[in-house]
Formats: sequence, C-alpha cells, structure tokens
Amino acid sequence: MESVYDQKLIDGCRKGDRMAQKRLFELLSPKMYPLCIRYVGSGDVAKDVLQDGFVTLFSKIGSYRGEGAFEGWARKIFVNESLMYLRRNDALKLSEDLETVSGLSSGSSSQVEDIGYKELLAMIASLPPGFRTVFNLAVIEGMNHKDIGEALGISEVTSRSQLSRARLMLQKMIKERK
Amino acid sequence: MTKDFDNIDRDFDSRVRSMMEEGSMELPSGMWSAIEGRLDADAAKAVSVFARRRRRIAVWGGSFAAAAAIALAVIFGGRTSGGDTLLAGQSSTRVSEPNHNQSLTNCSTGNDTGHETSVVSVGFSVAEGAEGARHVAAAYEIPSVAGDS
Repeated sequence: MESVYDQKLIDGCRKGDRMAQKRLFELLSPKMYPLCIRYVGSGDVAKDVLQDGFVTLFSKIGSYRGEGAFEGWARKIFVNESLMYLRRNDALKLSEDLETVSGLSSGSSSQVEDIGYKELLAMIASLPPGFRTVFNLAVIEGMNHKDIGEALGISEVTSRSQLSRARLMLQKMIKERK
Repeated sequence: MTKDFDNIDRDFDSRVRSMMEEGSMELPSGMWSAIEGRLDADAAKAVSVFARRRRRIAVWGGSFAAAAAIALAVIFGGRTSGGDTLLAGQSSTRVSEPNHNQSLTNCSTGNDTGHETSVVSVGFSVAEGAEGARHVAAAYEIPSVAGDS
C-alpha cells in the first residue's frame, strides 16, 4: 500500500469521517480526474463521472481488504464509472475511421516526450470513443484483448483493430501538431 | 489485414503510459462540496429508508402481535368454552337421559298420547275388550246399551 493512503485514513473513510474522506479526495482526485477525461473525452462530463466515482468509492470502501495497492483498487472504480457512463450514453459504438489508418507509420515515440501532459491528454480525449476506450484499457490499464473484448462485448480481433487504429490516429496527431 | 492491426509500437505505448501515470491535474474548485452534498444526501436517504423500514417493521410487528393475540384468545377462549360445552354436554346428557328413557317408555307403549295412563286408570287393557267393559258396567250398574239393543 502506498504510504499516502495509510490505514488510518482508509479506516476513517470506512467510518464515514468527512475529514478523512476529504483528505482521500484531495489525494486521489488529481489523478482520477484526468483518468475520467481520458475515457469520457470531456472535462465537464468527467467532473460528473468523478463525483459518481467518489460516491461509489466511499460506499464500497468497506470492501477493500488491503490486498494490493489502494490506488489500483480506487482506479478500477473510476474506470468502471467511466465505462458505465459510455455505455449509458451509447458511446461505445466502435469507430471505423479507416482514413486515419492509411498512410501512417510509426516512429513518433520520441515526439511523445516533446509534448506536455495536458496536450497529450487532450489528444487521447479527442479520439473517437471506441478508439479511445480500447486505447485506454490496453495501453494505460494494461488489459489484454481478451479481457477488453469481454468488458466491452466485442471480439478480440475487433479490440486489436480498434487499438491499432487508435494508436495510428494518435501518432498522426502528434506528428501533425504545430 | 492482420499486419495492419499489428503495428505494435511498445516504445510509443510505454511512453504514453508513463506520461499518463505520472501526470496529475488540479480540479476546479467546488468539487468536494458537490461530493459532500451527495454523501450527505445519501446518508439522509439511508436514514430515511432505515426509518421507513423500522416503521414498516413496527406496523407489521403490531399487526402480527394483534393477530397472535386474537389467535391466542380464540384458542384459549375456545378451549374454555369448550370445557363448558363438555360440562354442559355432560349435564345435558344427564338431563337428556330421562327424556331419552321417557321417550323409550313412550315408544314401548306404541304412542305418547298418555293412552296407557288412561288404560291403567280404567283398570283394563284394550285386550280385555268388551268383557271388561261389562264388568265395569255391572259394578257401577250402568245399563248396557248393547244389551238394550
């Protein structure tokens, strides 16, 4: 467990102590807010999802057994909340923007570090929802295509295809940025 | 086609993941107040649900207690009156026995009109017939109508 999320803080949140909850919110939100933006693609929507996520987190914190990192446990809640939002709004329709795939090549790895965090975040957020979701789950969360397929109700092949296209689209954005 | 999907660029992925994991973003103000408001609302809702459930339990409990009281009253009340019934039954049996015997007596006479009583009081039976009647008439000096005729 990370030192910042000590047992006393988690126990306080379990008991419904507002001060402990506020402290946990202050620690987690700077990381979970951009996570929500990455999934839902909009800052305003991300705020709503973040609120839902914290309400869910505080209601379920009793189920955290201390196995594994607390931040990883919390992160899953926010990813799930984001996916739920996307499902509710029928935003998980897979993107078929074939134009983005053609004529692109890799080689933009080094350019990633030339751009700032917020700029890269905005680029990921601007990807079509299907590309964005698979990219986030595969690249950032490290999920395999079988699990992504099960989570999104798509085949492994479709998941691979979406990831490939998302990556190419992102690389194109990075290359073409002014 | 598969080749198209296999443009795996692990270096690119790794750099993007690293930037996303390390980065953070300050939230616009007022977010905590909104979450706190929802937590308070949820807590109030939970209390309200709990209170409603308690009230429902109390109503059901009261109804159950009343039903149980009625059931007990019926069972024990019924058993008490049943005892009375039994006693009354016994009493009734005792009372009814003479009636029953009486009835049997009446039955043995063939009717219940008190004919036997009249026969006894007259002093002869139907079987004795006209002969008996003549004896009675002689004793009281009643002229025989039949003899006249």
